[in-house]
Amino acid sequence: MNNIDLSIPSRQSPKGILVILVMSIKKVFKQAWPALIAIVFTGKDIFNSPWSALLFIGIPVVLLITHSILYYLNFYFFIKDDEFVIKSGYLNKKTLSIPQERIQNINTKQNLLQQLLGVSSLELDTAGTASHELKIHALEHNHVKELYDYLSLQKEKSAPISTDQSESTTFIKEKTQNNTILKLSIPDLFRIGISRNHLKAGLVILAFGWQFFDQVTESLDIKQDQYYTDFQNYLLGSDLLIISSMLIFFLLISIIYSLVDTTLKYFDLRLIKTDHTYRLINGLFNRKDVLIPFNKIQELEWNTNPLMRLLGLFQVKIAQASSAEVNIKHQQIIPGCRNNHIESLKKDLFGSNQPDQEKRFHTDNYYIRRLWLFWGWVPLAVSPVILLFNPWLWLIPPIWLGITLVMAYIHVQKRFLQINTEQIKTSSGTFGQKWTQIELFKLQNIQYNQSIFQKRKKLASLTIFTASGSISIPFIKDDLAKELYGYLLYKIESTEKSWM
Amino acid sequence: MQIIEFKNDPIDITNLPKIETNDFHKIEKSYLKLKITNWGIRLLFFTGIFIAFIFISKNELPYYIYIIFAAVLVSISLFSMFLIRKGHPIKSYQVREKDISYQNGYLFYKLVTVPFNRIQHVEVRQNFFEKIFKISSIKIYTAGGNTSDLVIPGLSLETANSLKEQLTINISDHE
Repeated sequence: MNNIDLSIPSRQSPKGILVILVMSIKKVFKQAWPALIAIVFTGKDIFNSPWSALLFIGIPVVLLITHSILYYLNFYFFIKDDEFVIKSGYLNKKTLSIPQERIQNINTKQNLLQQLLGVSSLELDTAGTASHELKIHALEHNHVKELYDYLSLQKEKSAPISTDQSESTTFIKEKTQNNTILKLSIPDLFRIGISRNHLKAGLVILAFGWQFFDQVTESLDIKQDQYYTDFQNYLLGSDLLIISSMLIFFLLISIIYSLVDTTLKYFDLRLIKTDHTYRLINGLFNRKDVLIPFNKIQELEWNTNPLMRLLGLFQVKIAQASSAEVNIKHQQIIPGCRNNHIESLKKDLFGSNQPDQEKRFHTDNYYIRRLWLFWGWVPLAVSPVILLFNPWLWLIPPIWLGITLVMAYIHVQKRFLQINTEQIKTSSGTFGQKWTQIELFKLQNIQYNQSIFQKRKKLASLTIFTASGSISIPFIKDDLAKELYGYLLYKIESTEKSWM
Repeated sequence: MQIIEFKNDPIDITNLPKIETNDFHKIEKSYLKLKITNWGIRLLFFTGIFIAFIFISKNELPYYIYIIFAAVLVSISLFSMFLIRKGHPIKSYQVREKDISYQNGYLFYKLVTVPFNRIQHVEVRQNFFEKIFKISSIKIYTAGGNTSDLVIPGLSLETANSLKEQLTINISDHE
């Protein structure tokens, strides 16, 4: 099956020159765009003479093309002595070699250009932070398959958990080993996009728009103050109708943004199960193909919000072991899951012995008072200005306190944990709800916290750590906290299983 | 109090080894001296700023502002000293067969336990002040990220190094 000898240093596909060129242009643009726009607007005289325009645009372009060609010519990769080696660079020569056992994951990505050219980029994931350097930008598909197969074969050989080591399984088989668990259609994407958190999307747009406005006006040296005062006067002078239509407009923009963002990110999403690995493929202009071996999964999280609940949808997050800084890259998000998908994922990862029927241990009701203090009273104390004017506004504080009290109550109702001999499951949320389930032997360590106030009430908080983050269990009964502490330690210390 | 209904092996949790937080080894007294020294330095620094502030504002501000600032400075310093003195006796650690624990905190008590089979590696460190007071600290790295790494301060170099040896042996035992 080895048509390509992987031990001989090979270059990537020549189409890579184009890919690298476009990438470099994007990078330059990202850093220099305010200056570029400013120059275009104010430096019209540059373009008077054809020579200066040629120089101004021509020189950077020639430099970028030269860089891309040189980079391509000096980029080699091969496998030697159980190590994956990448040699790159023409001015600063770099050799990166990584032992095969340290390779955790092999992921492929295809942006729009790569899709058009029929190549993919291949990324090797390790537990260290250097993983972004182990990237090959343009590989033809047969080359990708060779590497994929070879590296996956190596991983299977060293994986301690898989019981079936007689067959050399390859991860891109078209036969019955694959099982598509989830496939998102366009209507699915629409449902997901509609039920996302629009408020958050709206704030993101606002923040981005603000930044954009700031940068442009600074580069163009436009007086911002005039715009601000005009806007302010406009707002103050408007009546309710205008303000509410502005809000609706704002909401519409958020919704459209959510829909577009969802479609671009999760287009044609497929979740495929192969032996002890999930494969997640999604994206329109940036197509991602990620392998998620079961044994690397540290925690499974699934959440919902009121809109999603109406549609019966959940969003799943699968967290793998990451390096010191919690890498978002190591968290895979799968939206549009229904209850049966959640159950299927849980069954795959946790087996049949799950804590769903166990007793729920809730955060103590004292926590309601705490939350109410921070959500209700403190904001009020900080904004007494409202009370000064219109007597109608005096209704706001009691209403606000009432609302936040109910919110605090609901939050504590949803804050509980369930545990059995194999896993621990926690729940939290106020309007929405989020569940996390972790196998006990994957825990890293535990912290017990008790403030002086908690001591008086005989309460304590625990924090449990996994290789992908931490989970907080606040304000539970002290006895329970101490017993849980001891039990979780016992589970970690008595396990022979590898957490990764 | 039994908290769990088991489906498989029934285990009596009350018989599991408990952490006897009174049995912990206290850290060195010199660490307290180090903390007080740091406190003193901070106090000098802020007093200096306060005096500079007085000179710069040259009696333009009403006298009670100065009194308020001075009062705030004094009360924060006193409170901070109170916490240091109250907190020091609590700082202690314990090495068991399978894990190492550390506790600290007066207002906000914290107990952390890192099982040996979850330690990534151990480091002995000594910063500038620690060198002066002849103490050091060990840092135990875990896979849980920065917030789950454990630092035990106030150990003599001898203790720190022997702890590090002990832990390193234990790590390789569990490999």
